Amino acid sequence: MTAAVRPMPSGQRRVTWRTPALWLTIAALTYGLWKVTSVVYPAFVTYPHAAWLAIVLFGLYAVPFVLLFAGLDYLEREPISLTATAMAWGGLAATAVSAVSGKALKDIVAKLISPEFSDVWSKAIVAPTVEEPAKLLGIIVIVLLAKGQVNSVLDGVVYGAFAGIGFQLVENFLYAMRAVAVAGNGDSLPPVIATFVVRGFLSGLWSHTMFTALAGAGIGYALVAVSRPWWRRIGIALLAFAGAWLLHFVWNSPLLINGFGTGLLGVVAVLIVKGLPGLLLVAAMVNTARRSEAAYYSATLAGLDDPGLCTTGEIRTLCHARSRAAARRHAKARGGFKAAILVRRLQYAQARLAVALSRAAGSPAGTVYDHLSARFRDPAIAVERREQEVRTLRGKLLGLGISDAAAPVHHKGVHWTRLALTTVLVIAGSVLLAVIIRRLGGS
Amino acid sequence: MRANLLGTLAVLLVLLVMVVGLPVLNQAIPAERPVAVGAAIDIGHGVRLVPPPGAAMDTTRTLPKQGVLFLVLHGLDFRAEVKATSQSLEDSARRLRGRIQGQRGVQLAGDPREVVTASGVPGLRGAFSATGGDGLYAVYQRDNLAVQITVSGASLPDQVTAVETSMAGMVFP
Repeated sequence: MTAAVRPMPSGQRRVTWRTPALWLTIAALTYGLWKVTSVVYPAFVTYPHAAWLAIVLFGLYAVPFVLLFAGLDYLEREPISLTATAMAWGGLAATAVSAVSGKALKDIVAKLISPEFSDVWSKAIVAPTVEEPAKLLGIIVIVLLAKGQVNSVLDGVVYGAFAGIGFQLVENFLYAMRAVAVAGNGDSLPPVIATFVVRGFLSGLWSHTMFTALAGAGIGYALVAVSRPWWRRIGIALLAFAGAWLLHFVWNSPLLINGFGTGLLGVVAVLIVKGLPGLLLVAAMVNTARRSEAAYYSATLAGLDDPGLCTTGEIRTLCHARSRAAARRHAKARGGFKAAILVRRLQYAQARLAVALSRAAGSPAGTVYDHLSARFRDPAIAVERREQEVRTLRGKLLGLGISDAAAPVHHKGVHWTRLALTTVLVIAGSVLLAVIIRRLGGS
Repeated sequence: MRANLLGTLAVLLVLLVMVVGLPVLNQAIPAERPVAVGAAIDIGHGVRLVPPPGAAMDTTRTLPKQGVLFLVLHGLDFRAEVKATSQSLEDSARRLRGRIQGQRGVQLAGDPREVVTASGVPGLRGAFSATGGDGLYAVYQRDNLAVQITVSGASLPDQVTAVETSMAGMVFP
């Protein structure tokens, strides 16, 4: 059985100016910034209103994605500096590298096979062939910068998703600007809105973010499954990359490009047929990775056998987002808003304690990086600080009459009200999108 | 530090292959594919054109799905594009003239004149001057199909007859 988490090894170095990967990252991001600016700046000069609208729309669009990915690994949150680097790599370095190499590879396909073949299949073959490696390099760079931070499959997913969303945002902006130019109506806004609806909503869920998250999971596995033979770890990483390539290929392929021939609904049906299987696959994989990681940290906390730090119910609650929210609601009902805030802080503190315990187990004689104080510490001292933090919050909760911050146990039935509400929202959203597309001149 | 250096070099190598290697390989492979003399090429929507003798197809700039044929002929760039349109011939020509005029360093030379293909399809043909040499443009239209042609390059004066013969021989469906 492979451990879900590989504790940060002893002697994990802090990034310094002598770290080669840091210089490579700076050089690649600078190159990407230069290339992307050379395209973005003229767009702002020629179509200022459209460009600003695209920035605002896709900027707002990114917010829920970023929050989702940042919270994906609740128990061991990734440092903002690293997630931001992954996102910048996707948006700048990977975009620039893909633009240059994609153009060259498309030409090579046209020369070696035929213009007809290139015209039909290049988008499906060239885009995944250059874009997936370019984004994957971003995750590898994160590993080189802070190997100890990528210590679970979920970590790979998170960094992959950030590299993917960065790429997706810049690409969507460029697509919007191209749509404005092709429309030929000057600085007009409808092409930006149309691009936002189509690339943001209709295809946003199963795009670059999903592909690179899958590839990142492979990197995470290769790093964490140290008890497995090297060929198996490399093989799984390659398989995950091949999966990302294949999902991208299917998504870009000209198959069913005209829908099922029933207008807008047919087109939407094709988008779902092409994208949903991949999304479900990645969602299932993320769910498995989260459960696996939760089980690891649960066992770590359970090993303390100290109800003052973590009760059995709190450990169960900590592992699921829905349970954590239920625990906060339950606390609010008993002790008001202040109790809910305290439970939230307690949950954070318990998660940090679990991570500190894990790192202490991984390097009992070394030092570990403590993100709270941004310093390298003796692992025992780090654990002590986390324990102190939990006990302080526990004391405050006891003052409000709450001794156990666990979520109440409910029967595992179907939430019919929630299900009905979700169904109504999805239908209403689909109808709204259809109306918007028709207004914008879609079929 | 050694592992970090090796990993960094590996990433750098992949980046260099993508950013430098692929473009260099692309440059090394010729883009032109010879066209058989007298053979007609389907530009798109069933419109066929016999390229001038000695012309070669630029495989990287020909986009069959989009109805674009790109030929090179003794230093000339010959681009033909078929489009479905609801505009009149005059409007199509005005749009093409606008696009040409919008290019940096390009100046239209006078008004277009009426032309007609051998099979009787009407068109408008004009000329422009560019820093890299002279150019000509033409729009032919029948029903809802318009073919826009632009030819430019320093050797245009020597090739203009061959180009005009090729355009006049165009066949619409």
